[in-house]
Amino acid sequence: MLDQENLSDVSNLVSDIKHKKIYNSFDVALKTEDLLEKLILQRQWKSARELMKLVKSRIKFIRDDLPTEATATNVMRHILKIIREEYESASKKKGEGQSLHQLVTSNSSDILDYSESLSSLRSSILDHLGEYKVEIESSCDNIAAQASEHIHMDEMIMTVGKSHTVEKFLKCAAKDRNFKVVVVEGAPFYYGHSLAASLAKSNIQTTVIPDSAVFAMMSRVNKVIIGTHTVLANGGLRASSGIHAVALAAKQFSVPVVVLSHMYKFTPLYVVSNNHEAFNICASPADVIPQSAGKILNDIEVYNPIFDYVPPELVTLFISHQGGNAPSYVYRLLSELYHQDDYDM
Amino acid sequence: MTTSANIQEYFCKIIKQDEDVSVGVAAIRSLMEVIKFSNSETVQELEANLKEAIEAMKNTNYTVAAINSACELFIRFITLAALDTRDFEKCKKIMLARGHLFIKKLEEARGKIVRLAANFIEDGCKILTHSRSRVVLQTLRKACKQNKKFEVFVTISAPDNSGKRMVKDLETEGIPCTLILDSAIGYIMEQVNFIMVGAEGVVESGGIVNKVGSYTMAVCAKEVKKPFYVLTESFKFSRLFPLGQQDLPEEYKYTSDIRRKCDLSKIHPLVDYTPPSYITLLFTDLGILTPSAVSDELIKLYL
Amino acid sequence: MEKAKKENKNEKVGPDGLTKKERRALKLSARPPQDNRSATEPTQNSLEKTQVNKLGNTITEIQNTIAAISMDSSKSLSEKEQRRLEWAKKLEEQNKEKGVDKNVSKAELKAKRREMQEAQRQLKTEHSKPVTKTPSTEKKDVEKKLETIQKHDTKKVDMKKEETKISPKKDIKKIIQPHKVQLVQHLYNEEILKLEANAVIVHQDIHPAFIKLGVQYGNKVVLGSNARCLALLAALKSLINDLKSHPKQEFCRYLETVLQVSANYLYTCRPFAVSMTNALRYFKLQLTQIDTNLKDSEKKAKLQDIIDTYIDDDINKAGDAISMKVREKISNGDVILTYGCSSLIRKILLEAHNDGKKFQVIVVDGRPLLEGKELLRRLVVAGIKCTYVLINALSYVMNSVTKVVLGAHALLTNGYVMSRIGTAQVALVAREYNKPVLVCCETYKFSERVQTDSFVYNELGNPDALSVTHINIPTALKKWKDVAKLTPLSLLYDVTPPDLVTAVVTEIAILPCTSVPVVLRINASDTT
Repeated sequence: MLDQENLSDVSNLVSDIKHKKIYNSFDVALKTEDLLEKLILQRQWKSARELMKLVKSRIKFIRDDLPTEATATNVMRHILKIIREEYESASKKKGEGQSLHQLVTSNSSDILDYSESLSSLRSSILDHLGEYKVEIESSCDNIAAQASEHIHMDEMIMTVGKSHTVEKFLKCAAKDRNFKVVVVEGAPFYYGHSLAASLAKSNIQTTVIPDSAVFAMMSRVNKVIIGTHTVLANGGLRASSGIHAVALAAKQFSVPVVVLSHMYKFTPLYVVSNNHEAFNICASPADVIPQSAGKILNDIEVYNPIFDYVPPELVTLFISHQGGNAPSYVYRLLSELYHQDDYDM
Repeated sequence: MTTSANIQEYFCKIIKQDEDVSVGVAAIRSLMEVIKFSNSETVQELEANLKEAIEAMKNTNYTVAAINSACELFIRFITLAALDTRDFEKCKKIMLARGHLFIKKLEEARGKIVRLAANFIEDGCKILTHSRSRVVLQTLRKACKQNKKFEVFVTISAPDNSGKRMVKDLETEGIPCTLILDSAIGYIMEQVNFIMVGAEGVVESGGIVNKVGSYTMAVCAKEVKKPFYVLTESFKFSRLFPLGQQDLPEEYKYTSDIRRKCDLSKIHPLVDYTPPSYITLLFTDLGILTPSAVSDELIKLYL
Repeated sequence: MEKAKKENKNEKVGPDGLTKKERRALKLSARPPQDNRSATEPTQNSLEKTQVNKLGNTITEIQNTIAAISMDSSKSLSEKEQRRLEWAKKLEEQNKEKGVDKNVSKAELKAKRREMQEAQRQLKTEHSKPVTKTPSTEKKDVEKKLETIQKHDTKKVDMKKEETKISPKKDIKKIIQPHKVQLVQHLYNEEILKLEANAVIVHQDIHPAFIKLGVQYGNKVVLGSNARCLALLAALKSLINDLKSHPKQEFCRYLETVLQVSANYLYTCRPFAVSMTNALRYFKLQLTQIDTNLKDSEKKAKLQDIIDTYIDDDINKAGDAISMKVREKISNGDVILTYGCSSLIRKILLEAHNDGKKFQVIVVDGRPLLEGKELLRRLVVAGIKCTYVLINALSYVMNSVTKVVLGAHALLTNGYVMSRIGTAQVALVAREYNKPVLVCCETYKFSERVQTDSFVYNELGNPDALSVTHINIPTALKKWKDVAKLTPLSLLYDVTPPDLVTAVVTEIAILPCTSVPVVLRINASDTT
């Protein structure tokens, strides 16, 4: 029923992400939402089950092609949940989740199969999607609006690399608070430099330090505020490389680590130990040691990992557009975002 | 008429007949039997009957933790079912029908856990486990069937030396394993990748009650920063909140025989309590949970 | 000037490019200070007279202090200045009450008072002040100020000029303190000292070997505490060799004074490494114990001998002993992680390799110095299998590591390890992964100092080095000097707390960090 041609929309998305045409996770989220909106509008589907199948095949496609991409699949997962919810409310049937309560109270063996064809389904799903889109679009501002609840006068804030959310957050806090920012440059990508330049232009006292000075500096830092690539199901992070060491140093000096994250970064995946191959990707070693180094390059191995796994015990707080949450509560946020059956496909 | 003796006998028979059935499931099956043959005429009477039966089962020499939580869950199940209808006969029917469904789900639980946990076993890893847990054993079997190569260290687990049986079971599966002394946990910890244990009960805090020695193992694991995984069915969740080892109920720590006969201050406990901060993840039939999610589940059910 | 505008938003700039405040300052200072003094009435009693005189003086002094307190004045000094200002204000008010200010127009007084308040305000915000200038030159300075303000945008004044006269741009900078991290303000002195050092280059009392060494230190051509110490001792040897006997002074005494001057000069190029301090101290101690009855040539030979023995025993043999001890701990199949480029670690790894040990090395490197590349090159040439990563990939590689071996700049009495910036982080991540951390350090680098953070005593690297990538491509940071609130900070060292270090390998034994004071005690009792 589904051949490769049907997936052209998602393969375009994947290639855009791969070629860094869309870079920012925010754009990925919006693009994905857009893609599914079109899918729901334009494709022929008779029941929620068929639609879910369409979406699931797209998730699988992304997962196989871009195993580290989480935003797109998360948005799709959430939309699956939206489809389920709308179906349930339209058909007035209750789906079955996995909880102790369900275990005890469920009384029928028939399983909701989403096969009924409901006329109102398309429009109600699209309505719901519209709301979701607004939620995505306003997420960044909503997070930034909480800045003054987390930053007080004369604080020293440390951040790593560049995150648009963090940038907005700090600038928002700077409107009525006076504080200093220490930016870790994040070699070999140096994203920290552009963040620092931008903050300084907004009149925030900014200091740039190399990655090696994190430990030395940490003793004077009041808070570490970072963005992340993904929040994992156990409350851990897949963040840019070097952040694990930053978080460890923060722990050493009892400095709180605050992670700003959009809801679409919460991913129902558990890291299977520290297996970096399945979890990480490496960028070109030329960023670490120039090609001009010559013959020596034949004799050495050079790694340039993009991500770091940060265990949940090193994270103090997540701030999403809904407010702050401890890492121990991530399981719950996930169950609100996605249906349990869609966690793993 | 169901007597305590009958119940005990039935309960023990189930366990002896089927090696793989867990104590909790056996207890619930026994309770189903009680409902079936009970000649009570009101829900209250039935509940009284069931409580009697539960007491009887607790007095057998099987681990009370599992019996307790499973029965608690079942009683909750009865009360929720009883709310649906007023006609007792009808109510009983509903209970029985749902009960079978319930037991079916419980029996499926282990399979789900095994599926989840086997993914965490990777080629070339070294696993430490304590005592003999059926669900851990099945998980290891499953991983082995998936052609994963791994090595297992099993503690001998005094006083009943159940680790020896575990090693024998693993060896018949062709899984390379080593029996180690309980006191060698600290020594071995450096080389293993993670720890996988079962549990007799999961408490409100997200901590577990398990064969004595588990706590020692968890503390060691934390010190050396190795993940500590617990594999457990959700019917083992119980509404107990131990504050420490001393605070564990005595019926958990000692068998009924010993409680009757001996001076408990001189006797080794059978189980210990591992606080949630030492547990990395719990693999349950409800999915992979962090310890904080346990309390969530219990709150949803009982409040 | 744009900058000034930004800083004082409500300050208007006139057509001549001067702010109101500056013009006022010019007007005021153009008036001869004698005005005030002559205005005082002779009928005043002596105490009051002196007070009034003082007032006149204080006003000029205040004007000076606005712009003229020496660079390295401590906070307490500025507090003192502030107290003095307050005192002056009080005095003025007293005088006003007594009617001594009859001859001074009220408007003028008002202006003066405003001036003083302003000065106070500035003093409060300011922590360190520009270089001192005398009141007599002040007027000239102001004129110069005017000049430089006008041709302000014709870029930077050259360094020496900036040293001798104070450009107004620098003045403003000092007040708002751009590009200086407050935390380490006390460390910025180095820059100024370096400038002064350039002036001292012509100094004739300093042996050319030392002058060369000073430049090498300053440019970080000679880098690493062992290398710096060896270079110092080599320079010392050539100094001894070339030193002609002084007609009046005894040779050793004369050498001591010459050495002192040279050491002072070196210090201005770059603060001493602990290894250098310790070596110099040892040498000076030996100097006092030389038999004064010997001929100068004999003394020379003896001193040379002392230095050679020191190099041989405390540096080379110690290195050999450490190398042997670490080699015992390296087993076949090990993966050894090291950070930066320690000459001792290099020696250890190469010798272990030559000894037939089969192991891999992971070289971790940190910006901006990227010293690890040199270590990498040498190890690869020797045929050791190497992996190279930057410090951000630490967690990525740490899992496969079996031992972490680090060098040290110094070991402090409280057990902290002072080493190249980034070392503490490596040790921290190593502990997270339960990997043993060995710090290799000769006992001559043990220091009596104690330190618990990386700020009190440290050195600053070149901030410009941060604004380019590893292949010298400028980044978004390249124009940092144009953005007042943007500051790259490059520290040279950090201190690693002892709980992150498994053991310290010295020539004496493998020791816990906490045994540093014990070693120091024993060494002290040996030499005396």
